[in-house]
Amino acid sequence: MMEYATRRATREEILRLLDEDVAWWFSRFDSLTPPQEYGILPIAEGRNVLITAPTGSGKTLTAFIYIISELFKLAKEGSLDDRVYAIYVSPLRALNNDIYKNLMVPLNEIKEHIRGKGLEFKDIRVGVRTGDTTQSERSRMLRNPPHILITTPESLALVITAPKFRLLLNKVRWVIIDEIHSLCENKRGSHLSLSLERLVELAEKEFVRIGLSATINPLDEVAKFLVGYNDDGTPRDCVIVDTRFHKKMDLRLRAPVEDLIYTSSDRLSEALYHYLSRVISKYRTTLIFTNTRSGAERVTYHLKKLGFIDADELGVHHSSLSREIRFSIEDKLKKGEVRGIVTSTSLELGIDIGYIDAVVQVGSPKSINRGLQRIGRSGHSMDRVSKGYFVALDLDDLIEDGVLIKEAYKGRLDTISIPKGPLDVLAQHIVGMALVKKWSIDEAFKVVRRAYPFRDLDEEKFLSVLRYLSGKYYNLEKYRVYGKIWLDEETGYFGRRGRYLRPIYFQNIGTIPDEVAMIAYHGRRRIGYLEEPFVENLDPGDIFVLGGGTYRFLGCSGNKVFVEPVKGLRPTVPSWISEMLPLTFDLGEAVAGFRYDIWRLLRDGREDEARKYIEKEMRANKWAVDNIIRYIKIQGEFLEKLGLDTFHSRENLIIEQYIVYNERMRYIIFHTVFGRRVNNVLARAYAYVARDITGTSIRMQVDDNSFVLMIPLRVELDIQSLLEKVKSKNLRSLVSEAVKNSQLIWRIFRHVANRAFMILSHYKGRKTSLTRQQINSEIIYNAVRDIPGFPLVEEAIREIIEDKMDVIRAEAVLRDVEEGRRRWIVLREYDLPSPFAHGVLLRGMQDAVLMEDRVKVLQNLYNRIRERIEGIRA
Amino acid sequence: MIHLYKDLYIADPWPAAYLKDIDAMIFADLHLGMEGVLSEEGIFLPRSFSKSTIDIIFRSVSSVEPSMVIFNGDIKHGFGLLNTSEWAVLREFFSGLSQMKLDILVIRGNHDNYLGVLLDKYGIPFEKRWDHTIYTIMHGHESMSWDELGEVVIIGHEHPSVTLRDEVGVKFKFKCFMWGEYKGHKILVLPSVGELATGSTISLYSEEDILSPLLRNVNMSGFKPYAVVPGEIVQELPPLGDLERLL
Repeated sequence: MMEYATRRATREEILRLLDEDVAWWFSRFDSLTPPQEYGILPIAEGRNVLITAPTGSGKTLTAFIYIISELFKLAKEGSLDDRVYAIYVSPLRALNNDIYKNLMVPLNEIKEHIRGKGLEFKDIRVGVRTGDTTQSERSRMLRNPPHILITTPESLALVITAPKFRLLLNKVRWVIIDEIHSLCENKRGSHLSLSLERLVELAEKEFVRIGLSATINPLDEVAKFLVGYNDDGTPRDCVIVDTRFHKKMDLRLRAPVEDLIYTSSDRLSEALYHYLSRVISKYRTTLIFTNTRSGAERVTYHLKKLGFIDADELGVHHSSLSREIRFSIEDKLKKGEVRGIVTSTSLELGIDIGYIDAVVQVGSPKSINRGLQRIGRSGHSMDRVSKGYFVALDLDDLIEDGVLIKEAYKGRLDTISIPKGPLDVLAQHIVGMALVKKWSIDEAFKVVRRAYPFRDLDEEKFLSVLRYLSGKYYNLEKYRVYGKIWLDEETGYFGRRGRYLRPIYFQNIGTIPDEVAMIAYHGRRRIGYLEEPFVENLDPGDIFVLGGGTYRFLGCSGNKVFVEPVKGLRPTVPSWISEMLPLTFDLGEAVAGFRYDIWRLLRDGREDEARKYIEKEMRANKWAVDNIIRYIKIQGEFLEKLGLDTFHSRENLIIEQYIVYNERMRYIIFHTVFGRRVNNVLARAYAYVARDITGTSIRMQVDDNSFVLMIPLRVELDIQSLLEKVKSKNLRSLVSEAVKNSQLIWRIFRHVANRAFMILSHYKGRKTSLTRQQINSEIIYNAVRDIPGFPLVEEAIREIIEDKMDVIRAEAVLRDVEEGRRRWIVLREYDLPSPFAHGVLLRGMQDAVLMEDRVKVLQNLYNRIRERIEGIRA
Repeated sequence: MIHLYKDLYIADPWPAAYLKDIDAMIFADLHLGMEGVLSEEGIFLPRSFSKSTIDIIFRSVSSVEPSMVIFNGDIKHGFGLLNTSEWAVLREFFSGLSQMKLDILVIRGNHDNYLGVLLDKYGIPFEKRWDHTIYTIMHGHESMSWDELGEVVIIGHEHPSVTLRDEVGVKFKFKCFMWGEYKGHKILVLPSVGELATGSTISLYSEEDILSPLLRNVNMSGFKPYAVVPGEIVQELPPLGDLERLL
């Protein structure tokens, strides 16, 4: 049962609850923070607890204080065994080291205090185990096990499998999962949830789970993710401590220039850097978020160049930097030696970065939750105000930022989605389980289904993973090398196979794909980073977009990619903007609603009211107000010219037909502010159907506010019939088919195959070889794509359409259309795109649904060549 | 059949050449058993590539019914000793072939180490190159003086493919034959039969991507690609030099 904590404990009550010496230490705090008031009591009662609160609210101490108290009690009684009692898991190694330091302080002080009374007792040991832990540290841990183990999700999966260490886990009473919000939305979280259920198998009694989370929604689902299910399918009990909105915020919306359309990009950047310099000089320490690593680099470079702030007092921090550089910047921050620090996402999570006065967000954070998380890094303690400035560089970002501010003040949050039943993660854990003992299929299935992501897993899927691992899909059982486990479906048992299995498991564990970044050079000048699978697809002469410029691919050697800048040529390959965050559905819906509200006020001649509304709800400066009003006004005039007397809204989904005569193309622009995760699904489904109608490949371009299909003018396409062919009922199968024939799946499949141990990054000590290098992602995918029911292909499709994209919300959108809650409005053809379409045309992510019939492709191509030749002759 | 020159044809729609006077099909670059080699390196793929490669050969041979089949190098993939799974694949392949009552000749490619032992069992000759009237058939991985070669040179090794773009700009890659002339010789480069063999896209941009030392100094803008969809179609295309201008 999920239950919200309502009982507020007093400081005295908590002190009475604790061991007297621990209470002595804790009594130095004059008052309790909100998480402590509501969280400590249920932990002491042995209940599972999910605590959600902003950073700096004493969450960690809430989780640990009662545990420390119990451990001291045991130590004083002389009954503290050489076993692990508490496990703390966090996604960040850096956070682990912080926690270790922060725990040692009270532990040492309490120890000294007790020793001062002349009492002797066993030390309470704390151990950190991560991927960095050395062999000798690990053996020391076996001899003297830590009572509190601090670890990462990956290392947890190792210790529950390690033959000796796992025996030390039978007395585990508490497991703390920190930063659970950053885990539950991805496969690392799915992986962790299975580790926890495997840990339940090791422990004598069910342990208490304590989850710590920043701003997140919906809490019920996150709580269920934390605690999992009982064997009978009911969720385990959990107390939810919700102290999300106890911190005060001061948010502002800023446009750095008077007119975001007609200002040149040079002047715009200049205005931005001046603005940032002003903010930095106003405060002691300012944290600046950009959405990309390259953006962080660029901003830092220009701020230094501008010279208003001493270059030594500026720093940059992102995940591509080396550990040493990052540590030294974190250290300077903690000591208060930097004035301004620029980062992409790496400082979003809760490592202790000391004192921050203000946060500036450049561009849109694309999500209310993320925006609040970032802003929450300032005023790092509960009683201080979080100060956040949002600076937008284009009109869509400006509206997104403004709507985010408006929603944040109303206490609204994005609804997160938790991946469902990832089969690659399951496969990895089954290998881990098989390493430990022989399992009955039923028993293993029962353990797996207790984990939240796998609660609805059906038995056939589970069996398909076992069959894959046993080598059944390879049709060559005689080659033992393919089977990682043996499987006897007659008797219903499975177990380990092969002497290499243990090293395979231990060296290849985890869910984060290790992709090699390649560096693009023009001559000797470094242009930027490219992902390896993207480069795999390039042929010499291809043109692509990188960091705002257009380049021709010349060739590569090692991890260097050689390019040359080109001007005025269209890209020939889709660019992956994988670094770019997608707009959340909830924020998108709020944007759509807001744009309509403003348009209506303008239509009714109430511009003053509209201005006041923006100024007040969005805390916008005058330039921000001007820009928003101008943007909506001009779009309204455009629609009016095409004979429309209404406007984009949640209900009105407008479709534009932009004819590009010199390209001989029709761009069908669907204005749907659903975010890229949903728009990607819709775009692919419509492109797939359009391909079948027209018999040509369909190129598409997808952005957060809209998507575009590009169709040759010579082919007929009736938009109404296109719309009718895509329904909520067939959407999933259409988009699955489309994804199977896209280039996107090549890379995702490779990740899945990595996680499921079909492709090992580490094997028999070798990492790369010539043959390996020749095997690109396309080839690997083609080897398995036609095996019926192959679980890894199914998983790759699921990951794409459910996690990378959002087929579930896309289905809901189409259902809304079918049931009359939304409607498509098709505009007449026009040879200019509307202002709202500029964003997608400029920065949309490109892809295509390919023709499958290769004979037809070849014949079409040949016909075009002939026409061209005859054209030249004529 | 697409006629190229005198007795030389493309065995349309298959990725093979055909010599009429001796009724022989010529294949190159099968790379059988690649899956087994990959499994040694921690990549566990099903045997679908070897299977579909063998399937193409058997289907094309049954449909053309030649009296002789020549494999122009790289029948197998691994460079080292034959491992169990390669051995099994190759045995299956040659057993199948030997039932078809054909003369078989294998030209040695750079991947074909240790193949001799197996071929001996089936009594199949294994040569470095094979000269027949005006034709020289060899794999093409070694450099040679053009004077030592016949008027028509048939090689493999290159795995040529051609990348074409459709009207919306989407790229499609096709395996192809390359047919052209150099120093008074006519040259036919065979496509790889192996499904998995990646090969290089022949383009005028990057001469350094050419694998065969024989072709390295050859200006290929006059070479004509013949794109293949095995079992379906072979399509003649304009010479490379024109192609890049036209598409």
